[in-house]
Amino acid sequence: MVPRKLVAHLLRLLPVMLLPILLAPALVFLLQRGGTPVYQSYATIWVQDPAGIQQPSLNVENSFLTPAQRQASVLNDLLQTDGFRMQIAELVGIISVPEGAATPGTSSGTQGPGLGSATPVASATPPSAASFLTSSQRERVFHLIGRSVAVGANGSNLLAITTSYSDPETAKALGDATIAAYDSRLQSEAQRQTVITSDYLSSQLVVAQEELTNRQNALQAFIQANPGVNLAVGSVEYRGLAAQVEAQLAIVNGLQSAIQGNQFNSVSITQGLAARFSVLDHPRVADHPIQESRIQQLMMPIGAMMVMVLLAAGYLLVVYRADHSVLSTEDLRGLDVRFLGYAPKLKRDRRQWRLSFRRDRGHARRAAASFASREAV
Amino acid sequence: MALVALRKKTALNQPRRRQFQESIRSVIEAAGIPALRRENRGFVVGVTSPSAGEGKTTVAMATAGILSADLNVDVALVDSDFETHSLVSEYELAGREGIADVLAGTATMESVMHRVPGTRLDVVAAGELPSDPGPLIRSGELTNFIEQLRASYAYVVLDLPAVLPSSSGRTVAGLCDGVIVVTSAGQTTRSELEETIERLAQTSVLGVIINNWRSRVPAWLERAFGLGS
Repeated sequence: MVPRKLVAHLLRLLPVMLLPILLAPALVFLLQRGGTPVYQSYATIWVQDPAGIQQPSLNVENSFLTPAQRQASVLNDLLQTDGFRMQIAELVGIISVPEGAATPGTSSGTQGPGLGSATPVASATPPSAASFLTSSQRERVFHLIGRSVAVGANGSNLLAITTSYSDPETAKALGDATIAAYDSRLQSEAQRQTVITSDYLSSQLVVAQEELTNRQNALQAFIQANPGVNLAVGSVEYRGLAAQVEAQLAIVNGLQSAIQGNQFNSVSITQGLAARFSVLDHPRVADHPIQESRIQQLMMPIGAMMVMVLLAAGYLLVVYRADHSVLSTEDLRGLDVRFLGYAPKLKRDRRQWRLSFRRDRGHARRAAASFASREAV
Repeated sequence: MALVALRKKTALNQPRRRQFQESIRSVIEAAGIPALRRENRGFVVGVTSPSAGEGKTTVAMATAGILSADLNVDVALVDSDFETHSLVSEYELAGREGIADVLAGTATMESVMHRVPGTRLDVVAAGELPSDPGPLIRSGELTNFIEQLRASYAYVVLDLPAVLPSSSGRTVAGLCDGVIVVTSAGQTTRSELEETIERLAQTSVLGVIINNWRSRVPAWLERAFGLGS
């Protein structure tokens, strides 16, 4: 059964509790309306796993991931890095090198993990704009880019980049900068791999060619030392030396082919990447800010109302639990005493208040005093 | 016997006034006061409360008035609350002799009885007691005075001092045939009431009244939730 005292407190405190319950959502609604408008820009990119160039960072071995998911994962990883965010901010123009400070010097050279991390940074490159920021400014820019750029896979081969900002041009620029920075990282990564492959194959070719020369010399020496041997029939030793020369020659030919292939990849990196990372929908300048649906607009006020309802309920519970006064027979339970009845609170006639503002104390006693007289009213 | 005058009446909310009157009638019936009175012997009812300001004087006045008017018998209303002197102002008894004078031997019972005009209700003021009234209250004089009243009146209603702030409340309550405890709704705490009942353990407590009661819960809500009242 609902305690009478709880209901009595609820009715007594109802105006006090209703006020914040109604005011809070109204306030939140007004604050929402008065907020800065946000513009969004979208880009859709067709992506494909790179062929020929091994990129461990793309996790191509995992057949459960689509190419778009792999690229989104890499791009999101990059977006967690300070260097990549600063690069985007610099491309957009949010940060820039101060005038007169653009003299050649040592770059901070901050490079994110994964793509492009091994590319040597030239010591003579100009300093990045990020290197002129204080730590607090750098942190603000870091969080700004983090809040503004969102990347996700959309289907198997579509990568969606969404950028948000308080003005539409910057929102678009953020999208362009993200694509450009990521493209740059992909190219430098591919370039780095071709350089490594080329170096490795060249060194292997030198060794293989030396070995081939040695084997050819050994075969030549055998022929000169055994002029009477019938080369057509051949001896066992002759056939062995000739086979070694042929095998080594095949190795040298293979290495030369690999170097040629690597050189082809090197010169076609730009075209290859263009085919595997193609921007289908470029970021555009939004002509109106984000329009939230009615439900989204109402969610925050409703949330505020729910919070206020909970607070009011808590307040009511505290008041109820803290009230140990005797209000009804419920509060007399357990006491070894008889309940005789209620005596109502006596009030002055309301009409009297309009005519007189005299103090109204003791009217209950005056009424009680009149009970002895049958004529008294 | 001297006459007293009632203070000028003020306009009251009449339905509430009648409701209050009926409530006190119900209380008198529930307490069984008419049934408890023995033939040819007055019944002494004490009205007290845990603390001051909870309405015991109002309930005492109403009880005495209704007993007098309804049963058409002589009733004495005695102000035995020597600290507040509540009845003095209501019946214009300022400067008149009271119990204190009887206990001190400077007045007789007849001289302190003041009849309310047109009724069978006599009112006794508390009078001026010395700074420490304890010994006087605990003396046999007060018992004798109440016995005299018992012999002369059908009902004697004592407006007792509050129980918790002073020990005299319990002492005077011990002289009564029955005591009604008045609580003020939303003011008296349960622990105060428990303490009061405990202190009046040697007294015949007739029951408890919840005074100043005003329901904030509409009737339809009471019915809907089955709220106890």
